[in-house]
Amino acid sequence: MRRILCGVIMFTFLFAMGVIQSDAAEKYVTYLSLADYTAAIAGLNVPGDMGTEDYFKDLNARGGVNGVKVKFIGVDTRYDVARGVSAYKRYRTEPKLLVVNAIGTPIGKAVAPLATKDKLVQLVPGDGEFQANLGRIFVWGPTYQDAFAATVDWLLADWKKKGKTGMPKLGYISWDSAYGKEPLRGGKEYAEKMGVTLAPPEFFPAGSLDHTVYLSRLAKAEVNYIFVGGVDPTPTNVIRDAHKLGLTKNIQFFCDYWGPTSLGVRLHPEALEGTVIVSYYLRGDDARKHPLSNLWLKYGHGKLEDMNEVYTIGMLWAMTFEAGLKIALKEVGYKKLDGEAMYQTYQKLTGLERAGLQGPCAYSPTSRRGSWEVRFYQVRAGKINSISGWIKAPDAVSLHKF
Amino acid sequence: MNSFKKIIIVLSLLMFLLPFVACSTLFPPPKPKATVAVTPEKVVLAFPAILKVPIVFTGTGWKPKEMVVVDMVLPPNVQIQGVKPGEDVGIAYGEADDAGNFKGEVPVTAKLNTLFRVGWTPILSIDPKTLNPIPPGVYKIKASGTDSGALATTTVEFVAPAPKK
Repeated sequence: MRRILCGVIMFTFLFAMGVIQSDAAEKYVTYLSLADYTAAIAGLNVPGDMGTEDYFKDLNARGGVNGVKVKFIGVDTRYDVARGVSAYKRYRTEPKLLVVNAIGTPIGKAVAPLATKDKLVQLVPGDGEFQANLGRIFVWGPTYQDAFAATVDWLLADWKKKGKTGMPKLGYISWDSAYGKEPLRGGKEYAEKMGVTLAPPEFFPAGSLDHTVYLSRLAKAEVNYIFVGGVDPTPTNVIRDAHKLGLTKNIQFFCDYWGPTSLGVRLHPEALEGTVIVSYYLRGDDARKHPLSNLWLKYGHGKLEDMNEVYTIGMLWAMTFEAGLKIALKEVGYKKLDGEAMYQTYQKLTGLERAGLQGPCAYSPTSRRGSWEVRFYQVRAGKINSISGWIKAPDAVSLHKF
Repeated sequence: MNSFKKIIIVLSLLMFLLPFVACSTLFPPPKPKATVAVTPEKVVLAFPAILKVPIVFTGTGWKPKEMVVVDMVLPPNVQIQGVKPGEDVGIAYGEADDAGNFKGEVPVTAKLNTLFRVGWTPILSIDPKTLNPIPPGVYKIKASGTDSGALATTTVEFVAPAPKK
């Protein structure tokens, strides 16, 4: 009898210990960033991922999402597709991996079929291709072609405001890469639709030290506006060369999302004076004065004036992830939480507000755009100043045959 | 009686063996073994000439349409920026065709980042002062299928360029 009683007590004790241990085990989910921390686009990627990591640190310190913490894994792919694919293969089996952020258009395109097979959510910078062919790949903001189209609208209004007659002529210059060509896949059609003549686009190899040949050809084509692509400081250097050629006097220059940040503007304030930047996230003091930028100070990165605005994009990726995780946990619980659940959830984030750092989230069953809205900024006296509120970008993706 | 016994034994043996023979036809033929090869097998670490030399991995026996990732195994004394100690480094990838053959070329970025361990200037150009080729030698290559999990290995030899006369 005594033996039986001892056995029952031991069993009960072991069972209770098991239950306690399983409850005590930390619950976490994984976010993977296929990043570039030491090569070509590190200047923007490092502050971007600092924003993500800080936001997750802060979230975890607050107890995570319903007790579930986020594990951030950042891999330095050096903007190298082979390393990006290999890193994805290495980390794809991480427990509860839900989202993979492929920083860089070429890596995004290469990893997309793998993330799709693995039923994960994948994020990419701005490829309209993933809006045209709906799948598990989500764009950070409006697509590149949408931003280009919004710029066409802006220049038409500017042309009219200046009292000019006829229609303006637009030039385009960017890297000779998938990223460089993306804005025109729909953007070109939008310009044509609006009656804006597009001069033959100029593409230059990434890493070019001098851009005068390409700029001279655009000047010869008598363009009134030039849209400059490339990740900063490339656009800064293109406009620096244009300034040397005297082109900035009569031609209005534009840059896309990755155009000069406040730090770049400090280096070439004179050359960049007047440059207009189209952005889906806050720039300049708009970003630095935002309450969430306090995380920059909280985690000891130095003075706020040295904060690259791209830091806020990193926080946006994390905020979107947090919102998705909240819904997914509510709907399927932690045990059943996987990439598929997160994919279903991301499509339900329509209208999500992210503290005004970006326009409302536009993800839905029929949209992979992170938002629709862009803002325009202009370089004046060595600073990036806001010259518009949020403006809904036109849909340029639907104009192109992918 | 004896011959009857023999017949029964033979029949029993046949009865025992027949299911195995019959079932063997139900099993698919063994999968072809995944292979990988590299062309050329010997690569001269000469810059910038290497940028014009295609280093191509080919293979057979992979699952149709799967992505094959080619990693280089780093000896303990070789460090590469962005690669943690003990990790392999990706240098190529390719998709297998319907017949299970794949082809993947080492991209320029991998030649620069991995074979020459370059540093980059902020305008997407390499910093020539930082060229630091990996030590010459024979390096193990691992190709793996992302769907099948199949693994194949080979080696590639990197040799130092001939000294300038």
